[in-house]
Amino acid sequence: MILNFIYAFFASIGFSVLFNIPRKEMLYAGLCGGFGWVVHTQLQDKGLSVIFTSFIGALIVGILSEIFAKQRKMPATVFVIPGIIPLVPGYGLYFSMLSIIEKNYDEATRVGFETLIVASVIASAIIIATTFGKLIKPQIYKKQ
Amino acid sequence: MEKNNIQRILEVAIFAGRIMLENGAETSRVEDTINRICLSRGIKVENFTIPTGIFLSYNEEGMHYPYIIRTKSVTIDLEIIAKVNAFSRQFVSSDMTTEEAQVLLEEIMKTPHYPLWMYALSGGIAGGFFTLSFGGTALEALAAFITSCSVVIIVKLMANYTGSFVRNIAGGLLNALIALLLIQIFEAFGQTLMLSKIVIGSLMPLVPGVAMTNAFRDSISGDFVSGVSKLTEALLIAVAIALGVGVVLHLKFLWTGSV
Repeated sequence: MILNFIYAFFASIGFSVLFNIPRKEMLYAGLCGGFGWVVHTQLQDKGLSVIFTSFIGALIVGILSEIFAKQRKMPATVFVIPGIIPLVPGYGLYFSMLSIIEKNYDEATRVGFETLIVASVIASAIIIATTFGKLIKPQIYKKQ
Repeated sequence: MEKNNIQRILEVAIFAGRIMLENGAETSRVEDTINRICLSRGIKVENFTIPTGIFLSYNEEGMHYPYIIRTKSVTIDLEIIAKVNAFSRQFVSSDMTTEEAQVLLEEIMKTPHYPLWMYALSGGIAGGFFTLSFGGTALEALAAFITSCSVVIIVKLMANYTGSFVRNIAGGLLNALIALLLIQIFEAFGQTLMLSKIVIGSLMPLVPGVAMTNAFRDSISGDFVSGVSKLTEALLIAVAIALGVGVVLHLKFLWTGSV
């Protein structure tokens, strides 16, 4: 579990340079990626489907990003995009295209469809987190 | 309001929008920024943004102010997006003049990117750790690190000369070639590595997983034009990479009889 966290943490930090996120925010982006991926793998070990675990993982990333965005006064995208990197189905997308090239249409359809669902599930989890972030925002300001 | 003044405010708004869009911001964020900047000076504009352009128009007393900007998105630069975001908040809440705003925006546009070696290093780190998280060994991660580094350098260098389709074919091609070469080298030292583990990990800096997820994000929040065009982009990039890798794997299959 700790190893998984470290892998995803550094993968997210690597990507945050590729996406040019500000130096000071990289640590937080890495944390988002790490926690999202750990939750995803832990749930998957319990035998849950990749679609459900991706949703929960992305939800964690989204919530953490909203919290960091409030604290660091940055748009949440800065943390969301590197954070979802370990979860996004880039490999599935590539693999289904490779299967098409290799004339393995059954595999291509199966992986391709799963990829589409996973991508849409991650997107909806992020949107749910953002919506709640917007709803909660006024109340946080009132408390201060 | 004075005609010149309106034009200047519209120019500031569209300049800010263009910078955001060219650095990979979502269309809804761009529209929101433009509308806020204009509204803060009492101008209510009609604004329609797609990933490759901004349409902006303002009507007052029979005068039309139409603006169309065609943009070419090159990179994702979240730092610039964050800076323009902060700028628009500052512009809306203060009495900044349009001249000051132009100067500020031009400064934001000059924000330096990271140097090439840092892109390469971080691409390598990302690739290597992806290989580990897909269950690869430490040596496979090392191979993925080297492969990713070189692919990121080459793809970045090609960015000035070719479009993204050709670039990604080349990226996939080189990726598989370098991975095969590294396997041969490690073989000479008595280490056997799995090709698929190396290729999977080191391809991650290229594959458009984020583009795909963003496409769905845009569609869910109602920007269907942007969603569909980003989905097309993501699929095309995936086709290009798979084509590049596929060619090498096929040749290897013909050569040695196994993948």
